[in-house]
Amino acid sequence: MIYKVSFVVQGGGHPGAIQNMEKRPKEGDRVKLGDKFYEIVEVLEIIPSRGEFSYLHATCRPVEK
Amino acid sequence: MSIIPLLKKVDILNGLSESQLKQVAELCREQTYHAGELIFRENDKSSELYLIQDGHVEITLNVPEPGTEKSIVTLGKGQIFGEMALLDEGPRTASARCVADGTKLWVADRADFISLCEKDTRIGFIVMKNIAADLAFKLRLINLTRKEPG
Repeated sequence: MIYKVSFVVQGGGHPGAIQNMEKRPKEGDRVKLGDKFYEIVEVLEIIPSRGEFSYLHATCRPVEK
Repeated sequence: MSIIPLLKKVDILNGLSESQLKQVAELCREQTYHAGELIFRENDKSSELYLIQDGHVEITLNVPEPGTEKSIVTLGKGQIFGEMALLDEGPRTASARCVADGTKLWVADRADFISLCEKDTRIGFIVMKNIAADLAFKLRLINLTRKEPG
């Protein structure tokens, strides 16, 4: 299964991103969007899967240094 | 390097057979970009569809202040952009810029892609249906981003 994930970053400091992932993302995972890392806080399935593709939406927050 | 393994992971091609993917692959050429490099500019004439092999691409809009841009989304591996050119032949609605060095893209010419879709209408139907779904997915992200406080 390929996971096509849309990412929204809390606080509006990032415009959001879309990328494919080979593992289903989960809360607590860290993802690189552009050149920065973010932590996933929520994952939702927004539309039904089609074929080998699953469509997810993840809310993230910036990783504090 | 074969593009077929990547094409199998691209959802706008979901539903195409191996032989149909090979026909798509024959249209694609590889290009590598550096961090900050502009791929195309808003309002440019559009004639190509892009697929991200590796790296990230930032999509931006011009804003009223001269020389300033607003980022609207970052796209990563397996995502397409420039697909509106495939549909309406209008000018670019946004600019596309590479985020990281060594970003690898596959590029297909619009005329070649449309020609393939017309020659094999099964390919055409599947690709156009998937592109419509991809645009809807992007609209959903924009709607969700607008709801985010900040």
